[in-house]
Amino acid sequence: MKERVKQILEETKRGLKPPTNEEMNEVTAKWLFGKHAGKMLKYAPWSFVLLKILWKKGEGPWEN
Amino acid sequence: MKESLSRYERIEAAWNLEEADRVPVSPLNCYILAYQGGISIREMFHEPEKFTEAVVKAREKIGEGDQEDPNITTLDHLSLRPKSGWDQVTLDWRIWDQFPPEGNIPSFFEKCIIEDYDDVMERGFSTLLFNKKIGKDVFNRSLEDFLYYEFEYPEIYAKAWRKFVEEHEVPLIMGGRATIPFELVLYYRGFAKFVQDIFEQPDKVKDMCEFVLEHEILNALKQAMIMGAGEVPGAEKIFFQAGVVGPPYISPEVFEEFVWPTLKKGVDMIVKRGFKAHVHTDGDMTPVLPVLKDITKGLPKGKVLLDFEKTDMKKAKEVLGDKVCIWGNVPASLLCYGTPTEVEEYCQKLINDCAEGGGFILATECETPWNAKPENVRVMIDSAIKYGQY
Amino acid sequence: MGKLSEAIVALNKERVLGAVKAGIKSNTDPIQLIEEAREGLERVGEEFEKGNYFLMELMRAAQIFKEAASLINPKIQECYEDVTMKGKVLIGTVSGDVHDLGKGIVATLLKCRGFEVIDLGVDIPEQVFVEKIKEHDPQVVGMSGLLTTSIPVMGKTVKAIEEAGLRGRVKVIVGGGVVGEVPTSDIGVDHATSNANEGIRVIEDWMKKE
Repeated sequence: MKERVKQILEETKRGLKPPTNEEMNEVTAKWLFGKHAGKMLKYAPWSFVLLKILWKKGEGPWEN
Repeated sequence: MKESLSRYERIEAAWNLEEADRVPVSPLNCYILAYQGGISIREMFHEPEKFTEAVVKAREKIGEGDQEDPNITTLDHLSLRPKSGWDQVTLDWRIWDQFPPEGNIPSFFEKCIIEDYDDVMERGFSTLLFNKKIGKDVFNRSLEDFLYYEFEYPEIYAKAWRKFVEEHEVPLIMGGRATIPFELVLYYRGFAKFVQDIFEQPDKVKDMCEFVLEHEILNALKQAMIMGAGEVPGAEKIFFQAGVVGPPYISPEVFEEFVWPTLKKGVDMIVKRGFKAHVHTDGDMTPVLPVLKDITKGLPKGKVLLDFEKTDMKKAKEVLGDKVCIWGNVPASLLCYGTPTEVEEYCQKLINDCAEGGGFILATECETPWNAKPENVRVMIDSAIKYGQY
Repeated sequence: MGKLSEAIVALNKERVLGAVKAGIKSNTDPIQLIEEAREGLERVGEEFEKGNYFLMELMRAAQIFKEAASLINPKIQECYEDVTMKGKVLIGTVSGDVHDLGKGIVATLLKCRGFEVIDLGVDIPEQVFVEKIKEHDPQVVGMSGLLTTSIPVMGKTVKAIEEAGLRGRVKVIVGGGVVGEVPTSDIGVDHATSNANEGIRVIEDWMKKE
């Protein structure tokens, strides 16, 4: 790899602010559980058992 | 001819609106890489080492562009989250053992999976992912399968591409992929219902766009980190897909009111976190060029690229030339049904219209169709060398 | 242009439905009402071809028209025993292509313009086109496709129609993203276009000549 390319990559790397695990969890929880995200996350993983209650009649994966 | 710059430096110069040694060229090759590289769609999806070997073979036939697309869509199709929630239910989900396939290459199509915006914002997308009414095929996959493709396979995939980039010094077109909220919502609703929403419940559409934005962007950034952003040339780029967002589909007014706010917000999020935004548009964006002019507002130079399909490239250069790098637009139909001479003439004109002063990458309109004639794609690459010297 | 057609061009649903209800109340001939609504829809089509309106507006106009028609049609059935359609169009996206959007818009517009439309759906094999032509005897067959790979498939489908001895009975029109950029003679069709309204116009012209 050319020196100049390495240099550009290093500059890029220094400037990156990738999402932290915490941010990813928050944004994913919001996407998955909507308004219930905060509490679902707070009480995870046990709260995920309650996911079943989020499904309405006819939507649930166990239904035929 | 000996070229003085590496491919990545050449691409970087274009993003920075500077003239390099010559105009960079980068057809957006997707399924054509598997087809010309002699592998099946199944192998392309599941065996990354075989896929990158096929890319090398394909490049011998269709010419060596300055970048390659690591086909991040493949990863999205296999996983379950974000777009995949979308992919799983809106994709024609058959991965063929042969190429050309007996049926479709995996394609997107819209389908109504959201009945009530408020309900989704209240209960979240988890209620759609395993919804019996929506995605029956999801149940055909095992838990092992999901865990593997969601959490382990992306690392394996990234490793294969890192090796490819290092061995061949070909940078990646992107490291992560996101879709603009307007288009996501359109796909979730289907065109007919979506049109009704724009006229009858415009505020809900806007709320929904806001609701999906951050998740969509952060996931793409995470993808880019796995692909090696900051270490693998090109992996820092986020392909921000904006398909059905301009004429002939929607009016400039609707674009400005509904598409633009979350498009600009998304670009800002990408850039402010140190990544680069490759904004991919379909349709003819000529009437909204004055709006797109503000895409770099408040952002440092060299961080945004606009990729055009049917847009008037000469006009785009006039309006955007001093603001943002532009990319486009050798027509798909020309690559499949035209002659090499016609392709060469088209490329020469594009270079004449857009290359001056830098900030232009010669590329395909949307993606290179898999059935494009290899000699036509090759001519694109040769034209950049022949006519694009600075 | 009357109030009703003007309201359709303005894409104002409330005004359209208001004008229809007023018309019905004052015993205006329902055929006149539907024709006026159709005139508005045609104007929207013209504006689309001029580049002043976009697919979204075209779709919206068709939706408003449909609602208006649902009020007018029962009246037509009360007043007239038999209403003839303008013609029959068989439409579908060809084999290997699952894109629905363009075909859906054209099918909706055709219905609004007074055609009987048989919509076969997407990814339709050649033989299904042939069988359905035999079954429904349409005057026009419309094939849609977005992918570049769909173009040779359209050609093959035309060939299959020809081999079944049905080509003389139907006009064939193809539409889709890149279709308008390909010469019609290459695939043996009567017309190819990427513009939805142009397609409708061509089909209407064919029907007038019949």
